[in-house]
Amino acid sequence: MQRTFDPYLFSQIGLDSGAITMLGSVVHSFGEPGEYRGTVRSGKESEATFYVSVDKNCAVAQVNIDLAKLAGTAPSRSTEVKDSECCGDDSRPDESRFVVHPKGYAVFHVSGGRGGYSVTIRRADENREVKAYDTQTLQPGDTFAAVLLRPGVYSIRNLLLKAAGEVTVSYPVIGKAAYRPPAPLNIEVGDKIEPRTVSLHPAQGLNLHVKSAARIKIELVKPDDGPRDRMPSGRAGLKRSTPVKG
Amino acid sequence: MSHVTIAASSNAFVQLFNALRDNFTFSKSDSGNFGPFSASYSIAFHLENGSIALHDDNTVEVKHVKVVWDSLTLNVCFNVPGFCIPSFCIVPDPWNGCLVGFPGFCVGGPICAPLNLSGLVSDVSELSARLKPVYYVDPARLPGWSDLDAEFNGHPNKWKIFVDPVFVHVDPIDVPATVANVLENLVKDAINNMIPGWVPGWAKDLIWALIGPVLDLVKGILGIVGSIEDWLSDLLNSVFDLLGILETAIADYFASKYPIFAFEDPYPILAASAGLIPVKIPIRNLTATVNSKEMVVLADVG
Repeated sequence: MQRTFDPYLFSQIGLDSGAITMLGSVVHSFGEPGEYRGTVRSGKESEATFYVSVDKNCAVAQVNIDLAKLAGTAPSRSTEVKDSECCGDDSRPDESRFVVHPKGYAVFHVSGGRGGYSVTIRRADENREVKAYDTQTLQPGDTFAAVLLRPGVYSIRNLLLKAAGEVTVSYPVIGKAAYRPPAPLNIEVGDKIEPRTVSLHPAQGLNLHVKSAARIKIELVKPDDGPRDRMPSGRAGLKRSTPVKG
Repeated sequence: MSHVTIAASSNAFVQLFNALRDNFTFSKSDSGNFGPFSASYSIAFHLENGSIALHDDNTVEVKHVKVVWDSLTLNVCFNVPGFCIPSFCIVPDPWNGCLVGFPGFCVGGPICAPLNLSGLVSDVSELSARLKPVYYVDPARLPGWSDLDAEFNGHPNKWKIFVDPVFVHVDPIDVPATVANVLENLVKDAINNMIPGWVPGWAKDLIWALIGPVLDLVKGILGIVGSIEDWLSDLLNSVFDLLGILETAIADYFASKYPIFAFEDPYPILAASAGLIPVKIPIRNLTATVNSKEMVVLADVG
């Protein structure tokens, strides 16, 4: 586990699958073996390039691709051994090369900083006229894994198909035992969102499985500031009336 | 038969010992890294009270001397995994649990809890010693000096009689149970200080919910199975070996640092006056013993 007090963890409340930040990751399976070339983008700007070898001789089921690290904006931390380094002939680790099994998954995530990245990927030998895979348009089989920290009510929308849902995150309770978020909830996103409403505990994971083309946007509609917010603003007995002059 | 006999009654010996005891002070600091945590200490103590008995077997027995900790501070530092987003499962694997997981990360950092245990009192439960005369040649004395030159320059040789401990036993430092509350509050303050001011209230509540009871967190990180006070007592007494340090410091001080009695050699029997030099006699073959009534110092002249 990495340690951070990244301010963006607490200030970026909403999530967008087309602009990946610390609390949202896109999971994509390549399916077909081959050599792939990916580009990390921030808006329309290209930030970094990476390569993925999808190799059926490699048993790696998950490769974590840290977009912040590729783009050079991740805070320096202890070296993390990538799963992909166990495959391939190259003994020298290259931080922009990854290897995964065709039925495995690439997890595009952001380990720190402002984020807001998207990724485009195309086969190295692919026809340029074939449209590249773009995380701004998630494909069936992709998953957008989200963590909602800020308590409140959120809207979930698929911007491409006008589907909408709602998620409520409860306020954390300081109890007699350390709180541990329960297992993540799973919902499906396509031309509709199933189930349409879900309730989450704070920091509980939410896996949004894409059933048809989607760009998922999660926005805070109504914040919950906890017991302090629900308390009356002051005790009537302590109010001091303003003397009326004249 | 010896030429010189000096005797000090047991009451006089007690007075001499009190001066020896009251002159003792000791201070030390050190630190260590113990894997999940690091700790440092700073100590300073002096001695008070106690009873002394002289025995016919030529031993001095000292009991119940209080070790008063003028300073006993312990700084315990460790990493707080305050707020972790666990690596939850995204794609489950029916055979292997989880195929793909969310890359987790923690909010946290190093904190230190400075425990101040100054004012605690330990006990030198028993100290048994014999008297040991040592001939002391002043290192500042120049080789060409006569005994008179050495006296006039304030660097005469001396006979020193030390209380040489055969064994010293100090009771373990008894850490009070209330230290658990003190540590809990210190860790709470340290965590609050670690959380930046800009972190919103809901996030602080989430962090504290994930941290849970502070004492449980501390016990988990430090690997404490029993009580906090027992763990601290073990850390001080055994891991940092303050007991050993304390016993060694006392034994070393008594045996070689501060004599219970000392006098010049040659011993002045007539002071210089009216232009005459002082009359001094050399002391040889000095022995110092005790019996139940007194301390006896025997010596030859020559």
